[in-house]
Amino acid sequence: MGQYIARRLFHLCIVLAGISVICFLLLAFSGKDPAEYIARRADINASGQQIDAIRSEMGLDQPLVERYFEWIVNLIRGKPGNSLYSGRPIATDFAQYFPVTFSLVALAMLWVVILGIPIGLLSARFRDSVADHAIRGVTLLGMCIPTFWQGFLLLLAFAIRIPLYTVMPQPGIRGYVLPSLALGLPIVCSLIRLYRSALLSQLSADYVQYAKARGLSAWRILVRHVMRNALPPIITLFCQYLGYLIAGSAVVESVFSLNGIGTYLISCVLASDSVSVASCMLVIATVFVVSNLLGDVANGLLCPWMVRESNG
Amino acid sequence: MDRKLSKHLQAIAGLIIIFGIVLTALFAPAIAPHDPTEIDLARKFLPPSEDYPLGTDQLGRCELSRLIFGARHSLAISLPILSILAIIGLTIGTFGASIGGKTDRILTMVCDIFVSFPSLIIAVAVIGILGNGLENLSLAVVMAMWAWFTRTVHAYTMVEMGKDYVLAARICGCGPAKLIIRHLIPNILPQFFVYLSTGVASSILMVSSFAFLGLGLPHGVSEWGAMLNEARSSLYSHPSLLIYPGSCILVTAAGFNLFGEALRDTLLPEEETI
Repeated sequence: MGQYIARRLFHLCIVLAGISVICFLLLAFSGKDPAEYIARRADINASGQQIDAIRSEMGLDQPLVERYFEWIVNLIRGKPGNSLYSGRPIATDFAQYFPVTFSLVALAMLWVVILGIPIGLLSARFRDSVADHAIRGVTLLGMCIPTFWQGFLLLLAFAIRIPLYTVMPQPGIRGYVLPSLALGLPIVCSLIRLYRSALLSQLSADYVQYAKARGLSAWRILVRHVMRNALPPIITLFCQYLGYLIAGSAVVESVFSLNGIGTYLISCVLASDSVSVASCMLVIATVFVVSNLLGDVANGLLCPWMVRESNG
Repeated sequence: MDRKLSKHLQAIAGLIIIFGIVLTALFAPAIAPHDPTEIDLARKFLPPSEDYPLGTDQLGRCELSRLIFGARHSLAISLPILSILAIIGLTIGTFGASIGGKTDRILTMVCDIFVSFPSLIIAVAVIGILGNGLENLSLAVVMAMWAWFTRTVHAYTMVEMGKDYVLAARICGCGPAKLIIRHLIPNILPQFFVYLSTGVASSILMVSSFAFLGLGLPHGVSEWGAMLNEARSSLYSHPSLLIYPGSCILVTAAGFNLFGEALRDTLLPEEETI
C-alpha cells in the first residue's frame, strides 16, 4: 500500500508540473500585455517608456523559463501577484471567494451522499420494479438537465411560487440550500445509475449466492456485503466530481448571484486578466488531482485487492 | 424479451427526437413563422397568439422562431466539434496504443495532464485567452475534451491489441498504418460510436452553458443557452421565456442520451448500463 501511494504521489507531481506549465504557457501567450494594461490604467496615454518601466519592474522582460520559476515560487509562497480585474492581491481574492465555492460544493456533495446512495440501493434491491424503472427514467432526465436551467426552475418553484427562499442570496447555510441542490442533482442522478449497476454486477457474484444459501435476508446481503464491494467506482466518481463541481459552480453561482470562485473566474476571463485566470486554473486543477488521488487511496484501503491487481 | 423490447422503444424514442431536431434545424427558415432577429419593441412580451404561437421575448422577437433557429445553432456547433474530436481521438488513441513504448507513455501522460483539468476550466481559459467567437468556442471545447476521447480510444485499442487477430495480422506482415486502419479502427468502432452518441449530449450541454455565461457567442444569437441568459431578468414577470429554451436543451440532450444508451445495450450487451 505504501509503495502504491508513493508511486501515485510521484505521478501526481509530474501531472502537477505539467498543469503548471500549461497554465503558464496560456498566461505567457495570451497576447495581452499586463504591463501595458497596468500602465494604461494609471494613465490612458502611457508612453512606451512607461510601459517598459513597468514591464521590467514586473520582471516581464526576463526569459520565459525564469519567469516560469518565479511565478511558481511566488505561487507556492502564496503571493501570485495582483489581479488585474479587482486590483487586489490574488491571494486576497481567493481567500474571499473560495470559501463560498467550497461551502457550495461541500453541501452539494452531501446531497449526493444522502440522496444518491439510498436511492441507488433501493433501485438495485427492487430491480425491474415500477419504482426502479421510474428511478432510471428520472435519473436519465436529470443527467440531461442543464444546471443553469435547473437552478432557475428551483428559483421559480421555491422563491416565486412557494416563497421559502429569496432570489437574492441569503446569509448563512440557508442561502446555500437551493444552489447546492441545483449543483448536486445531475451528479446525484449519475451516481444513482452507477451505484445501481455496480450493485447489480456484485449481486450476481458467487459470494452472494453463498450468502443466500446461508439463509441471509436480501436486505442483509445488500447492506452487509454488497454495499461495500460496490463502493469503489462510486468513490472514484465522487472524487472526480469534486473537481467538476468546483468548475461547474460558475454556472450555479451566476444563477443564484453568489460570489464564488466560479463567477470570479468568469469575470477575470471577461476582463482578460490572464494572471488570475492561470492562478485559478492551477488551484482548481490541483484540488481536482489531489481529490482524485484521495479517492484512489480510499479505494485501496477499502479494497486492497484492487491495488494488488493494478500493481500487476 | 421484455427487456429487449423496452430497449427498442427507447432507441426509437431517441431516434424520433433526434430526427425531429435535425429536421427542425435543416428546415428552420421554412418552419419559423417570423425572422428570429426581427426586433420590435412595440411588441415585447406579447402573450401567445395565433400570429406568435409562443409569444414574443423582451425585444419583441418571435419566441418560437428563435427556438427553431436555436436547434440550428446547437447542432451546427456541436456536431462539427464532435467530428473533430472523433478524428483526433481515433488517430492519436490508436496510434499510441499500437505503437507502445516511450511514445505511448508520453502520450498517456499528456492525456493525464489534460484530464486533470475540469473541462469547463480549460474551455473557459481558452476563450479567455483567445477571445469570443465561434471558432474559439469550438477550439475551446476541443481542447477541453480531446484527452477524454483519446483516452477512451486508447483503452479500447489496448484491449484489441491483446487479441490474437492482431498478432496474426502482424505475422502476415501488416504494417502499423494498415493495422490501425484495416484492423483496429473497425473493431473499436461500435464501442466508440456508443461513446460518441453520449458525447453529443454533453457537448450540447457544454456549448449552451458557455452561451449562458456569455462566453463564446456573439450577442443576440438565438442559441438556447444564450436565450436563457437574456431572459433571466424577466424571471419574475415572464418565467415562460426561461422555460422554453431550457426544455429544448433538455429534450435534445435526452434524445441523444436515450438513443446512446439503447445503442450501448444493443451493441455491447456485456457492459452493464450506467
